[in-house]
Order: sequence, then structure tokens, then C-alpha cells
Amino acid sequence: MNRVLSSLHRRLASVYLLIVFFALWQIVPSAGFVNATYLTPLFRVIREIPIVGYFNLATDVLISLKRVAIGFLISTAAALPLGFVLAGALPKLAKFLNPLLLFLSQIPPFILFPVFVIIFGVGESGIVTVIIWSAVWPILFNTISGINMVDPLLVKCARSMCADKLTIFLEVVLPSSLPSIMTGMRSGLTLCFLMLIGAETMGANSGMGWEINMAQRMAVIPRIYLMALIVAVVGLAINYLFEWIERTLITWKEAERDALA
Amino acid sequence: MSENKISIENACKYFYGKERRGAASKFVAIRNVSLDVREGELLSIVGPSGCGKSTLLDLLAGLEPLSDGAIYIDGGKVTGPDLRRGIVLQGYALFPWRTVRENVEFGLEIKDAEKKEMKETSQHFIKLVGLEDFADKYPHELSGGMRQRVALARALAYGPEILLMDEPFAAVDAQTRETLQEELLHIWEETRKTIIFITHSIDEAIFLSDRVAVMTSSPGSIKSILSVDIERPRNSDRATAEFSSLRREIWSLLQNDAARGDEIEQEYCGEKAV
Ligand SMILES: Nc1ncnc2c1ncn2[C@@H]1O[C@H](COP(=O)(O)OP(=O)(O)OP(=O)(O)O)[C@@H](O)[C@H]1O
Ligand SMILES: [Mg+2]
Repeated sequence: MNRVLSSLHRRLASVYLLIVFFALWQIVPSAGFVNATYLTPLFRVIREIPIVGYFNLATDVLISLKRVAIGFLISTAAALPLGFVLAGALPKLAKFLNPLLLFLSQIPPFILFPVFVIIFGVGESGIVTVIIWSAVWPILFNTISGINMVDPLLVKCARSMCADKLTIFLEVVLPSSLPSIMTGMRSGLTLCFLMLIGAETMGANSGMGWEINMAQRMAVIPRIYLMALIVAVVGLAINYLFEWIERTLITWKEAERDALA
Repeated sequence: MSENKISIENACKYFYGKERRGAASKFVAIRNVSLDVREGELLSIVGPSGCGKSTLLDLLAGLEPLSDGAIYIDGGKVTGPDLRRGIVLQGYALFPWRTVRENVEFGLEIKDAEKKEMKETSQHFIKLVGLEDFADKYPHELSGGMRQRVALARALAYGPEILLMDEPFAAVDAQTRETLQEELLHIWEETRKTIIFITHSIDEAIFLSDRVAVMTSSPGSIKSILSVDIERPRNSDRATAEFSSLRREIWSLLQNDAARGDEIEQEYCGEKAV
């Protein structure tokens, strides 16, 4: 019995902190330690849900997710093959382009937003371009470095067994660099989501970011907190989903990673 | 005496460094190596570290082109990798994302073997190296000696006529090493493959081989080839008079070379700027 309790305790240890956080969120403003107008108590925030409307909230979340999905898929579809070609087939070109790519990657997408709007027009494409710009870089760089770090001994070993170029790519290079590629895709996805919320506050008429922007304009403070809460939950869910995909794809390193954790 | 299986004629290998002040630096890794290996022979190569043993094996496997000279196998010139030659590279070189079985099956997959045949073959060789209980484990779950066996099973699985082994038992303890040596001899006696075996251990070379080739330090060439005329099966305590005298002989051949080290170093510098 005791053992069950202690294992439950261990599993919930990090959840306790969240519970304390939410409890404080309720108690601190409602007990008057902080002005409740600026820091809305948790229950008041939750009561905002029916006011906005379940349907509206669900629509906001789904629209934002759709944009994240489109942006992420396009950036992955662009960055992965580009990384493979640059690192695998044209290492000299990759080295030549590296400073330029690094330079470009340092430009925050919001600065380019007006340019994107001019080029791609107002609406969906401008927003999606912003998140593509932010996600492409980590995926590209991690793919290139993953391929550069493939153990030459393994390539040699495959060559000694008469593996052709395609087999070496599929059976050695790809699995070797998969952990690095997944890391890049995960940072890309996180950035996609963060940048999307930002982009939606600037130029959209739907989505979670837009809802935040509206709440701000109408000065409905509880709604701002509500949307922040929802954004955090959705972001966490995306992260967990990706972690799960990573774990199912990369089974051979399980033990090593556990040992580190 | 049977026909030569492998015939190395004046093999040379140069590595070219980055160009500096207009002159490309040239490093001679192997110089004029000539060596014949008979069908079914087990020949060991010993030599100081960096003398070009692994390089020679790469040339034999067809993984690197020769700079000069030629290598013939069954009378045909070596031009590239071939599944008739199996190589166990220095370091285990196992694919970490493949289980033991999948590692062993790599060469068979390339051969486009049938699923059923592939399974039977890999099973056979996994059993041969005594890993049947670990067939579905990943390399990181195995000990060093076990990984070594997987690498051996993988090279054996696609049925090469020649086995090239680069310090395969270097990373295991003395006990395991002796077990692996016995196992290798067992496999060799069963399959009668031609084996070239690189090692740093003089004892290992004598215990295993029909002949031992001693290499000079860099740039490597064959210094001497000694026949080991000790009757098989050989005594595993390795303390007979024949064994000791061979050990002393090889040791002094390697020792002489170490004393000549300075001279060789200079020679190498002179050759560097070509
Ligand atoms: N790809 C390469 N480019 C340049 N130099 C190389 C290359 N491969 C090997 N060499 C050089 O050739 C020499 C011989 O290397 P090799 O690996 O064949 O030595 P070795 O006899 O196997 O040594 P060890 O016993 O330590 O394994 C070394 O000096 C090494 O630096
Ligand atoms: Mg070596």
C-alpha cells in the first residue's frame, strides 16, 4: 500500500507544483493580495469560457491548429530535402551557403511580416509564411548537422557489403541522423506555434491569437488570461504528441535516454 | 601447395593532404606491399600502430583504390567491394538502430535474399556465435564481446569466401578473447575460409595462424613472413618451446623497428612535400 502511494507520489511530484500554481492564482487575487482587476482569479477566468462560447473557442483552437499544421508541413517538406541535398550531396555548397543561411535565420519573422503581406497578400498566406520562416531554420540546420555527424565507419561498413548510394542513404544516413532531425522538427513545431499566435494578433480575423487581440482591444482582462491558459495547454499537448511520435520512431536509444534523464 | 587465393603485388597507398603553398602534401601509408595468401589459409598481420594495417585491409576489401600496384583475388583484379569478401572493421561498426538479427541480416538484404532463407541464415550464424538469446536485443544492450560476435556473424552471414578481420578481439578481456579465438578457429575449421587477421597481440597471431606477416612502421611494408608450424589443435596455454621462440622472434622484429623509429620519421617528412 505504502509502495503504491509513494510511486503515485513520485509520478505526481511535478503535478503538485502546478496545483500550487493554480491555487495561488485563485487565492492571491481573491484574498486581495493583488488587485483582482489586473490578476483575474482562476475561477473567474474559467467562467469566461461560456461567455466566449464553447463553439467559438473550439473554432479558434482548430483554426490555429490548422495553420500550424499547414505551416509546419510546408516547412518540413522544404527543409528536409534541402538539408539532405546540401549535406549529403553538395557539402561544398552547404559550407558556402552556411553564413548566408545563418544570417537569414537571425531575422525575426515579424520584421518580415509586412513584406510577406505585400508579396503574399493579407490573410492566410501572410500568416503561414511567418511560421514557415520560423520553422524552416531549425529543421534545416539540425538535418544538416545530423547528416554531418553520421559515423563514417557505419557508412564504410555498409559499403563493404556492397550497399548502393540509395541503400546507404535509407539504411544508414537516415536512421543515424533521425534523432537530430526530430530535435529540429520539434523546435520547428514549437516555434511554429509561438509565432502563429503572434502573427494572428497582427493580421488575422480568426484563431487564438486573434481572440487575444480582440480581448485586449475591448479590455476584457479575464479573457486574455483564459486565452493564455488555452494557448499553454494546446502548446503542451502538441509537445507531448511530438514526444510520443519521437519515442515510437526511435526505439533503439530508449535506454540511453532514460539513463540520462 | 594450393593455388594463391589472394595475391597482393606492390600495393601502395598514398593519402593527399590539403594543398599548402601550392604543394599538396603526400603521405605514404603503405609502400610496396607484396603478399600471397593461399586458399583456406589463416594469415595474421602484426605491426606497430599506424603502420597501415587497416589501410591494407581497406584495399583488400575494395573500399579504397590503390595508389599503385594491384591486388588479385582468384586471379581477378580487385576494383571495388564484393560480397565474396567479408570484413570485420576495427571497432564494431554495428548499426545501433538494428537488433542483433537485423544487423546480421544487413548483407543478406543487399543480396536480396528471400525472407525465409534470410531468417534461417541469420538464425544459424547467431547460434554459431552463441547469441541466440540476444537476437532481438539492440547493440547498446550487449557487452563488448557480444558486439564483437555480432560483427563476426554479420560478416559470415552473406557467405564470403574470404574473411578480413581488423583487430576483432581488441576490446575484450583476456578470458573472452581466448574464447573468441577458439570460436574463430572452430568456425574456420568448419568453413575453411581464407582469413586475414590483423592483431596487436603476438600470442594471438601465433595461436591462430598458419603464417604471421610482420609489418614495418609507417610507411608500412612487409618486413618478414613467418610460418607457424605448430600442430593443431594448439595448446591453449601457449607455453611450448616452439611458441616461445616464435614469440621472441616476432617481438624482436617489431622491436628493431621501434628503434629505427627516428630514422623512419625523417624519411616520412622528406616524402611529405612532393
Ligand atoms: N583517410 C585517410 N586520410 C589520411 N590519412 C590516413 C587515412 N587513413 C589512414 N591514414 C593514415 O595512414 C596511416 C595508417 O593508418 P592505419 O589505420 O592503416 O594504421 P593501423 O596500422 O591500422 O593502426 P592501428 O594499429 O592503430 O589500427 C596512419 O598514419 C593514418 O593517419
Ligand atoms: Mg588499424
